[in-house]
Amino acid sequence: MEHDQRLTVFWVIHLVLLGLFGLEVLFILSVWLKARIPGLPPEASRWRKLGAALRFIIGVVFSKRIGTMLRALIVDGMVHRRLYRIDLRRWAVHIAVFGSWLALGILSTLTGVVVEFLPLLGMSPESVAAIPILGHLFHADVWWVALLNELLGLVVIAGMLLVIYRRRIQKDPQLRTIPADNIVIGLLTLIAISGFFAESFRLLADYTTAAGVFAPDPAMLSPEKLPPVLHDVWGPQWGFVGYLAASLLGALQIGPGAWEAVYNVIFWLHFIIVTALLFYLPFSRFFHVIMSPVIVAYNSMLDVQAEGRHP
Amino acid sequence: MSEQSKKLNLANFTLRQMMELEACTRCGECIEACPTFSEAQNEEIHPLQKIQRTKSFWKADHLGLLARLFGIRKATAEDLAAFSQGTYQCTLCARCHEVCPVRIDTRPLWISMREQLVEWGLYPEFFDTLRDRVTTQHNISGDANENRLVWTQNMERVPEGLDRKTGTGTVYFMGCVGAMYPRVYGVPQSFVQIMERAGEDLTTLGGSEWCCGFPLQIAGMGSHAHALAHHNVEAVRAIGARRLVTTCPSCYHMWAHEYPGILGEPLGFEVLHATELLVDLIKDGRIKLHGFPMPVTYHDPCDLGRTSGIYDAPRRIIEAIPGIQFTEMADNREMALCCGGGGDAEMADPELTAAVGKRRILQAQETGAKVVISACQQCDRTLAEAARKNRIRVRAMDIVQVVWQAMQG
Repeated sequence: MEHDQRLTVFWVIHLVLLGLFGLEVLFILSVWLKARIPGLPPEASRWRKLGAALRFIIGVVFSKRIGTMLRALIVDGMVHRRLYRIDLRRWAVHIAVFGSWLALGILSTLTGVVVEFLPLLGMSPESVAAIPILGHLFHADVWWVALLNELLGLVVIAGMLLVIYRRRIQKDPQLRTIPADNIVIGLLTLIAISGFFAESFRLLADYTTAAGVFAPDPAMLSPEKLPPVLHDVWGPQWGFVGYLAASLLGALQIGPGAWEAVYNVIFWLHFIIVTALLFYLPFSRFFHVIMSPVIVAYNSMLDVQAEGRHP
Repeated sequence: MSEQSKKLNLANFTLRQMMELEACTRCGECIEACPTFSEAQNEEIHPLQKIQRTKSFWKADHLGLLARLFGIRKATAEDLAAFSQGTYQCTLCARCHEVCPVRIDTRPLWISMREQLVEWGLYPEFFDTLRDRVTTQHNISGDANENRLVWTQNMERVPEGLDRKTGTGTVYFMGCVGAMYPRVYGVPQSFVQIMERAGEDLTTLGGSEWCCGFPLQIAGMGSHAHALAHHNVEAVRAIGARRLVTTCPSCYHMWAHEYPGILGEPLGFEVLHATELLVDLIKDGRIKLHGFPMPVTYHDPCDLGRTSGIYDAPRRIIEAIPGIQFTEMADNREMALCCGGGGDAEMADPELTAAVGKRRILQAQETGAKVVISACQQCDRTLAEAARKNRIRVRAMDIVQVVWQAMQG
């Protein structure tokens, strides 16, 4: 399968699965609406409760409190100021994992827009790639895209190793690890590691000659895959770990077809693990990735409004 | 171990609490901060475990096959018994809230869990007695409620108008502990004398004062507190007072924070804790303090500090007393340790709460204080008991008693 077709299939399936994940979250939300909302009678319908919650959200968005809420969302919900004040080392580990995943998620989403969505609007690969900065995301081998992905991936792996060290070796007395935690930690680590393998095998599939020599050159890719406008910023070696691994594996002198087959397996394995984690998220402790910023932002407003008026 | 058939009723929780359960990062800060867990080392007590249990309960009961798919099983009877024990051993001190990076409002969450346990019938038997006593006798001691002013009997001179004098500006809500437990009679006695000396027009509800409902509310039996709230508010309105003052932080919490919600309307009069009134009277020069030459420390009651945000008023009173030598304890203000007397936990496990109290009185001793001042009769009683049992020469006194002594010169 050609890379561009594979990526299209990937993005289509990814969007469908994201939709299913959204349905899963909506189902959970509908169950939550069986809970009380102060100010409403206990027998109020879920629609009435939803209306009250939406009115509250809209009321906040169009009030002066939006500033307080956004500040708390960023400072406490994402940068984790309180944890920073409590323990700098633990904050660093948390931000390494959370921050890097967040950045990688944003980068992937933007890549999806550039690679799949803009061409759907009728833009040619050349014109998409010509968009300043954003167009560079059209290919992972643009030097700064390769470097950024590499660095973020390494920070994630370092963070995950420290998480595992703290739980399994150091056995920090304030932590409690249940089997469900191990599943999520394992999945996150596998995603990060398989991402590096996928990158190495992609490089081998793209830049191995028919004679089985790994010899990267932008001319080896079709203009649809790597528009000529990106040749000047092409630099897969900036993804240094994946590139080094590809160089070492390249010494095996296997043909590009075999690397393509291996890449296919690793790519879809990586995708399956990401999907599994996504669906497991609301049932694991890692739902806090979504809910804790929401609650931090919400609770920040309690200082400025009577508690009883909150849903 | 058989699966239990009882289903968690989500109506016992608020929408916000459902989100808070999922917002818990399991970072464990609360485990280190929990004063009861540090004494008992029972995994069921600490906040993280209570949250984890509740999450698995609601998911197993309400998400059906999806929950099963992700390995969440229904609770067993043993699970529920352990959850009940841990939840009722909590003193509701809310120290966990202070250290939570997500600022989960833990105390109301523990109370919601208790409401669920009451609905399941899984709570300490003693609470049935407490509920019956409070709803029929209208106080926690079970004595005749007409005796609410019994503490005045051994006073040399009783200020006039203490028993339901209509048209009085300030109603003093004595609280069950202050009015009916001889160990702390000194608190209402001192308070009414201070008010008389300051020229403050003061009355009480006498035998018409009913328990504020706090012990039932925190036991998870809050619905039984509604009738008490309505009665008390009507009684104060009948006096025509513009202000209600309490010496008990738990009563203060009920009046200031719970009653307006129960009634669904503003009370129509101001609610103050005694420390807030005293600090104003000192500032206005209506209370003359002569001295209390003693090394002291101050214990922040959980219901006055963390729950109601009153930290400065008691300290300003202490600092205004000539000759007093005030030293803070290592853990103070928002991070103050619990005395062990809160959350009705003493009724569930007196040995555990005694251990919590011991830790606090030892901390008071470390400051070199001869007197540990508090602003809560329950803390006063618990700390005094801890000092007595552990032969620690630190005297527990209520701030009202200290002020009264300082006024004597």
